Amino acid sequence: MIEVKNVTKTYSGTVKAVDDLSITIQNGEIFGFLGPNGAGKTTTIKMITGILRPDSGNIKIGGIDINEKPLEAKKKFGFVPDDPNIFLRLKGVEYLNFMADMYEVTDTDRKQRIESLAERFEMSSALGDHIQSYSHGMRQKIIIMGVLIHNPSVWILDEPMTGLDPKSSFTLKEMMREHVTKGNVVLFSTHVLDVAEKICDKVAIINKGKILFAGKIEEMREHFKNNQSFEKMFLELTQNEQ
Amino acid sequence: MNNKLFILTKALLKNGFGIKATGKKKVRQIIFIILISLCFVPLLIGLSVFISTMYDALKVVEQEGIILSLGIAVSSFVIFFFGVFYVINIFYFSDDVEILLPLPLKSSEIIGAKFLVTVVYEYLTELILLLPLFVIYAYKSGPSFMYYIYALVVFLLVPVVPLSIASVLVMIIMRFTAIAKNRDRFKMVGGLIAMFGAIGFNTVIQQFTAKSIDPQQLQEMFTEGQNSMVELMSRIFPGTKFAALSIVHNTGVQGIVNLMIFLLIAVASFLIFLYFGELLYFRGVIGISEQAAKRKKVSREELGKLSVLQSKLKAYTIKELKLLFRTPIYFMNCVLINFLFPIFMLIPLLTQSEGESELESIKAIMNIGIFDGIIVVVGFAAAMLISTINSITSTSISREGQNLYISKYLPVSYKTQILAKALSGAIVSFIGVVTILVSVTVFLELPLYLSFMIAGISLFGIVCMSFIGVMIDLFHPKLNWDNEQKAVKQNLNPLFHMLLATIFCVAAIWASIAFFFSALTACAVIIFAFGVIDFLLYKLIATKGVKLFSDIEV
Repeated sequence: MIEVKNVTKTYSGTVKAVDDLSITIQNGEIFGFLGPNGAGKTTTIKMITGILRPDSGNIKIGGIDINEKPLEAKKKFGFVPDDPNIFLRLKGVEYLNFMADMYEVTDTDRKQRIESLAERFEMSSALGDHIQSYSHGMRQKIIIMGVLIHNPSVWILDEPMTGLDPKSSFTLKEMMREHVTKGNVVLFSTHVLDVAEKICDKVAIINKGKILFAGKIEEMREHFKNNQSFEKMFLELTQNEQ
Repeated sequence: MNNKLFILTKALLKNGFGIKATGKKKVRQIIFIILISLCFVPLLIGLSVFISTMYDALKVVEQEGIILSLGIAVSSFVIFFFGVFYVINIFYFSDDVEILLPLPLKSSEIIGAKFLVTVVYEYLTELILLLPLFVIYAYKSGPSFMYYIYALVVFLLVPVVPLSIASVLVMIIMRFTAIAKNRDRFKMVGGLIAMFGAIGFNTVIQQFTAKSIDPQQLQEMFTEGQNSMVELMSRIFPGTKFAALSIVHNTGVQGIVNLMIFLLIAVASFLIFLYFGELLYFRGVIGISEQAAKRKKVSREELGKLSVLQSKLKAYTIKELKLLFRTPIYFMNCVLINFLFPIFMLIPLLTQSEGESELESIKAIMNIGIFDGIIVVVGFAAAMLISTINSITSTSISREGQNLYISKYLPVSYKTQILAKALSGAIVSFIGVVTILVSVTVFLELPLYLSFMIAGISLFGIVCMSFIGVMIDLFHPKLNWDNEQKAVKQNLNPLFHMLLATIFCVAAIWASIAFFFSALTACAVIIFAFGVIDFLLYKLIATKGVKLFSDIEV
């Protein structure tokens, strides 16, 4: 479970990137975080993952406050950042082992997970190469693998589908579904409304640092009282705010 | 020449010289520039003395113009040498290549613009090599106004010919060989050659300038030596002679004729370069950003060997070390420098024949016994200085750049991460210190027991400096950079770090002389004093350091 309560973040004293935002994500949910560019999605995710500290409010992951007990909270989740160009000079397998060391994964667990993840994402033949030699999609895949290696109960993914080929994107969606059926949580942000519409149990639409809507897509349809497309509803919601 | 060439040149120049800094940043930038310029002062003084002595000697036989052609020829050679590396980096490895290639530009427009940018960079080289020459020549000869005009034109045109040659050479190599397939390795090897070239050049100049010049000998060298270096270089870089002649005869017709010839040669070489560029550039550059990969499968056994749980501190330190060794810029600036000291030390030993008596006296002092205490402290001080010169710890946070956020979401305490950064720096520094101790023991006959003592106590100094280095970087990390060079080279923190270390060194050496410790007492004092300092610094890192780290937001 992720609980975000009355969180505010201001940049350089004036611009409110996130404004008194509250959301609760229950176990067993795939939760989509949607919004136009610069809406505050990434800032919110950065606060949930402990990269940024909120000016006020509090955030709990699996019941643990990220700012009070950061190390314990950080062990609960795995985070895929939106930029996969990291650790470029490590080999794939070195990166995976580095992450496993950071999350204290035992020898047998990590070996078994590396093998199964590499097979699922078709990365077995690339593990011995430097990440620098990977394509954008392959980099994205190795980062996702590195995050899943400690088998976290909460997945937080910032724009995870970007650059993935259809097969890998399908695999990831499948894995997200498997993960939440076991009673876990997946939070991801995206620009792609189709993806959100198809796989999210719930969505939150954010603009200018505020939540405009949070709930099931069907509830949103009810709210608009007609059978509009999700895209149209999204545009209407975010436009009205301008 | 068309308009696009100049638009592109302007854009590249603007991009290259960075965003205009304001306020506090601007002050730091200016301090940085001043400090860097100060580093060239000794070289400039040496050169100036050398030039003016030569001028006086040659004036007697009315051949003073020779130093102009010598200067221009040497500058051309140096420009050519560095040009090869500039061209490789700017034409082929620069990040903008991928953006420029899809634009509807002719290859001559792209490389033309890049060439002009490189010319501007080379003006900086000329500032050090050619400007003092022109200034001193003017001071000594009291020339007419036209001298300055001619000198300016020559100054602006000198890089064109050697750079054209360097560019064509590089373009041929890049077109027809697979030399750049592994970009990182290529950069590393290239950087090594450039560094040794620079050291060699420096040594040659120092040797020239350090020796007192015998005017007689000099005159003979130039009047007789038709096949001398000057002639040779003038032949390699056509136009050198005309450039010099135009300045010498700046009042007459001969001057303007020579200047015109020089101008023609420069323009012609630029056009030839463009012609070759049109033929060679695109085919060489396309696909260069792709990295060769073996797509090697990791076998089960290898995976088993690699997949062993390590402590976080160890794993993080190893990661830091891997990045230092594998990133060419970091390798050149932070790792390699540790192993260059023995070479720096050897050069004067090997080149100075007269220095032998000095060498003998150094050896004698090393073995006399009564100076043991001072020797130990000097060794200790040198170790501290070395651990700052590699700038590993003082850029350890800066090197993370925009990826610093990764440190924030990993479930590893900030203290462990900071300690890993200090530790990786300390390890590399210690290896450097041992390398030097070995060479000093071998070449200068430092007694073995002293060398072991120094190695032992140096650890206390290295740890101290490593902690201080990370703290300095925590206060002012330089995180906004788009290439790694800026993280280590355009960063003030290593300079502050070295300055601090120098103060420590001076204090330690002063104490050793003032109290005239025995070797053992010196070791005991250092172990006690620095043991306490290291402990206090550790406490500081665990509190203030962690606080600073958590306050950095990217």
